[in-house]
Amino acid sequence: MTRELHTLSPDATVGEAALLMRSSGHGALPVVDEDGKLLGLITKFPLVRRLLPKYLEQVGDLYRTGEFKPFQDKVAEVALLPVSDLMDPKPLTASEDTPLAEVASMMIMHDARQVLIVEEDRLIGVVGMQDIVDMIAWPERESISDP
Amino acid sequence: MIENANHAIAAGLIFVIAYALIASEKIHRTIVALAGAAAVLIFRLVEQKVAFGTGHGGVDWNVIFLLLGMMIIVSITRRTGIFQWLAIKSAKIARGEPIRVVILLSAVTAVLSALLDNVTTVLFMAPVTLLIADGLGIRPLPLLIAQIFASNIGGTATLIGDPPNIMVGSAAELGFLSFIVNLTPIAVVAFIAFVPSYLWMFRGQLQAPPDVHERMAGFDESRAIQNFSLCKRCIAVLLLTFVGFFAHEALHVPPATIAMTGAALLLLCARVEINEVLHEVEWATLLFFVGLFIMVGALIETGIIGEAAGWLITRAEDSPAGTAIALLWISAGASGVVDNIPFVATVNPMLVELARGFAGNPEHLTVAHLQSTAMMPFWWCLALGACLGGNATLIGASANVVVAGIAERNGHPIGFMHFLRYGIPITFITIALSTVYVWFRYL
Repeated sequence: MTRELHTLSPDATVGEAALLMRSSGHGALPVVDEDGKLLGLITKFPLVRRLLPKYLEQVGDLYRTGEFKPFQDKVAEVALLPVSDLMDPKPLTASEDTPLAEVASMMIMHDARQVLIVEEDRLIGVVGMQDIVDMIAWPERESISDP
Repeated sequence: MIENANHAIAAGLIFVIAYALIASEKIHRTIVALAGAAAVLIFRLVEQKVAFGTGHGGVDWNVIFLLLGMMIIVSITRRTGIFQWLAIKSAKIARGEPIRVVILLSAVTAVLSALLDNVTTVLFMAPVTLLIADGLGIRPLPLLIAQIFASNIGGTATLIGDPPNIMVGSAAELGFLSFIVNLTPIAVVAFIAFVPSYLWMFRGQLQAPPDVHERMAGFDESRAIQNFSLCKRCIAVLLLTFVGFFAHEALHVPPATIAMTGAALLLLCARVEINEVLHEVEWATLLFFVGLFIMVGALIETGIIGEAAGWLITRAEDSPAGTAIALLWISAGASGVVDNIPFVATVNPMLVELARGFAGNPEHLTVAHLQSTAMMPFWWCLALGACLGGNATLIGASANVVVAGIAERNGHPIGFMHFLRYGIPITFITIALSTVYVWFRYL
C-alpha cells in the first residue's frame, strides 16, 4: 500500500490534474476535501473519453485523415473543468484490514487498477495492481499494510 | 356486436389507460403494452387461444416476423460499415456545402428508409450525421431534423419502410408491389416538396465555416468498409431479399417469409456470432407490437371495434370520399399525439369490419373484399396519414424518438416545441399533397 499520496482538491482543474498525473507518474489521483475526507477518484480513461464525442461508439471511427477540430476544442475546454466534474464519486474503497484476495477481486470485478484505503471516510492510502503483482514476487505478504 | 357490456367497458378502459400512459411516456411503451395485454388476458376479455392464434383478434405474426427478419438483416449489414461509407461519400459529393449536404443526406436517408425500415435507418444515420456536422463545423440540429422528416417520408414509400405500412399491408393483405405502385409516387412528390419547404424554414441556419472544403477533404470514407467479403455477401442477400419482395405476390409467399428467409440466408453465409446479432434486434419494439395486438384483440372480441366500425360504415356509406379524407387527416393528427403504431393497430380491424360491411357482411372475408375499389382509398389514407403524420411532433413516430435520443446523448437536445415549428408545416404540406393525390387517384 502506498501511504504517500498525491491528492487533489475538488476545485482543482482538470488541467492541474493532468499536470500532477505527469509529474507524479500516477494515472489515478484521489480527490479529498480539506479534512482529508475522500470525495472521489480521477483517472485517465474518462479524461480521454471526454475529449471524444459520444456518437463515436455508434459510428466506430472518426473516418478522418486530417485533424478533427472538435477534439482540439474539447482539449482546451476540458482543461478548465473542475476535477469534481470528471471524477468517479464512488471509487472502490477498502479498509486496512481487508484481505488482499478481496482487494484483488474488487479490481478484477470492477475493472479498476487501484482500491483506495479509507479509515472513517478519510483517505489513508492506495493499493494498486502493482501491490498485488508484488505478491507473486514476495508471497509471504498477507495484508495490505505489509511493506 | 357487444354481448357483455361489462367486458366491453373493461377492455375499453384498459385500452384507454394504456393509450394515455403510452402518450405520457411516463412508463416505457413496451411495459405498458405488455401490462395491458396481461390485464385483458387475466380478465379473459380475450381468450389466450385467440390472442396467440393467427386469426382475427390475434397477434399479427406477419408484422412481427417481417420486422424481426429485417432487423436481423440490418444488424448484420451495419457491421460492414457500408452505411457510414454511404453517408460520408454523399457529404463528399456535396463538397461539404451545408445545403447540398442536407439534401443528399436526406435523400440517402429517405431511400434507405424505404428499403430497410426507417427506425433502423436513423439509428445508424443520426450518429454519422453528427460526425459529419462536427467534422465540417456546421450545426447538427438542422441536419438531424431533416433526417427525421426524410426517414418518415421515405418510409411511406414501401411496404417495409415504416411499421404502419407493414401493419396496413398485413391487415389488407396488400403486397410489396401494391405499395410501390400506390405509395411510392406520392412519397417521391412529398420528398420533392419537403426539400424547398425545409430550406425555406431553415434559411440562414445552414452556414459553413470558410475552410469547409478542407475539412471535408479530411474525411476518408474508404476506412469505413473493413470486411469486403462480408459486405459483398450482405449486398447480395439484400438484393435477393428485394427480388423476393418484388416477386412475393407472384410466388404466393407472404412478405414475412421473404424477410425471414433473407435473415436465415444471411446468418448462414455471414458466419457471425448469432447472439451478437440477436442482441441488436429491437425486442422492445417487437414486444410492444405483441402487447398492442393482444389489447386490440380484446377490443375486437368484446365488440367495441365492431361498434366503432358500425359508426364508420354509416359515415362511409353516406360520404365515402369525405370519410376517407377525414381518415387521412385524423390519422395524421392522431399519429402526432400518440405514436402512430397504436393508432394503426386500432384502426386496422375497424377497416377490416368496414370491408365486411361494404361486401354485405359475408361470413368469410376474402382478399377481394379487403381490396375492393371502395376499400382502397381507406387503406392508403390510413397508411399515408400514419406515416406522414409521424412528422408532426417529436413523439409522432419511433424514428423521431430515436433521433431525439441520439441528439440528446450527444449534447444537442431537440426541444419538443422547437421541433413542432417545423413538424407541423411539413406534415401539413405532405398531408395536403396526399389529399390531392388520393382525391384524384382513388375518389
